[in-house]
Amino acid sequence: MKFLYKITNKLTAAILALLGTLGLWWGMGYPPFGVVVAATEEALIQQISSLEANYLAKNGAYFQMLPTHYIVPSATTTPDALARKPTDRKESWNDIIIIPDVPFSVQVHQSQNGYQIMFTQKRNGFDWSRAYGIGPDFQTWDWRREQFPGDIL
Amino acid sequence: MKKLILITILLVGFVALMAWLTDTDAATNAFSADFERTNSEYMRVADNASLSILADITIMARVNAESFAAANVSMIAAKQIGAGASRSYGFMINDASLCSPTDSQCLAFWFTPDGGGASEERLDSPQRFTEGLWYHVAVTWTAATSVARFYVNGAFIGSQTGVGTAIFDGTQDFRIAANRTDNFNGAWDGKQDDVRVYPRVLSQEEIQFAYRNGECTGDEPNIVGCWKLNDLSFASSTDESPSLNTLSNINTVPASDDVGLGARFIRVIR
Repeated sequence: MKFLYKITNKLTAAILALLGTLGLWWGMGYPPFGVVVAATEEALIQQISSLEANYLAKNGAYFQMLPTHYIVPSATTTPDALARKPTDRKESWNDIIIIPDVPFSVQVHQSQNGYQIMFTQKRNGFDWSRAYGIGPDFQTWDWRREQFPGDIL
Repeated sequence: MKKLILITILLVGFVALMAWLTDTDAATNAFSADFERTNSEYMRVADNASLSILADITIMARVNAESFAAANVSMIAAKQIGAGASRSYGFMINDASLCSPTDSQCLAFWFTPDGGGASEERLDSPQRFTEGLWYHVAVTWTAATSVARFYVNGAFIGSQTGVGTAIFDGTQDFRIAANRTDNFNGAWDGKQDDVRVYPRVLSQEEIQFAYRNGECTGDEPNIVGCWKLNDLSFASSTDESPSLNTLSNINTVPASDDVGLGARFIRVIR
């Protein structure tokens, strides 16, 4: 009986600690971690937009994310830069959302007035991009070619 | 006692004199913007008539690079250049591989007459820059002759002549420290201060005056962009010019109290 009492106490403490941690996590403005989205642009736009709204409500600012890939992909590729974060930021992709293997790189720009989700992809040696902007600071455009052959910019 | 009073008066007088001599715009030029290339930091204002400069133009800034982009440009200010089909103009410091000749860094002005990459004209002048030092850099481009003239710390360093005699009227944002937003390999990394744009060709005397006399006020003739970057906040930075091209702060560009050349020089003549 005493043993059961001890176990129950420890379990309760563990559950409370876990809930406390989750509460702290949530209170700091982090969205529920482990959100998985489909490898489509529309699903990513929808999910990231939802997370931005949540983050803004908790932090009074939008979050920024650096590109998911170190090299712009031309085919479906596992993101290799998910742990990277801006030097003045505390979150990386890994803290916000689980990005699946995708055929493009994704990044998020932010300002006080909004945010922009940017997709980039290499097609036959050209850089292509698509952007979804919210707020007056950012534009939205469908896939367009960004570079001319030979340009390295 | 008398000696003590005399010494005190002399000391106070000396301190007051030094304060008077060195008091230029140190109080106002308190900050610069410190762009981090790896953080994709830049500032922007939407396309508008005042910055859609299609002919004569002058761009100048005080810059202090933390690093120069390898085999790429280090963009000071641009209205989309080097990307897409809506290119207008840009002012930058280039890696030697993008200069002509390719044996030295260069100060460069790129523009397109039709917005496309194939017709992009890349005018430059050789000049080596050291990371961590402040420079006042300026370019003027005369449309009629397509001549770009380059200046560093008020000194004329060279010119180059292009072919096109007009700049494309693109719809892209005007940006400080970045030319594009999908790729920051050629963005500026380091500080910028006192960034100016004029829709006319300034004389060397005017450029030297700007170099020697601290930040713009917004009252300079024809100026359409006067960003002192002293009020840089999480949100924006004010344009002192009548065009009111307030910049939005993208990806949280921080302020630095290390300010540009000419901001705290000793005033010799009053």
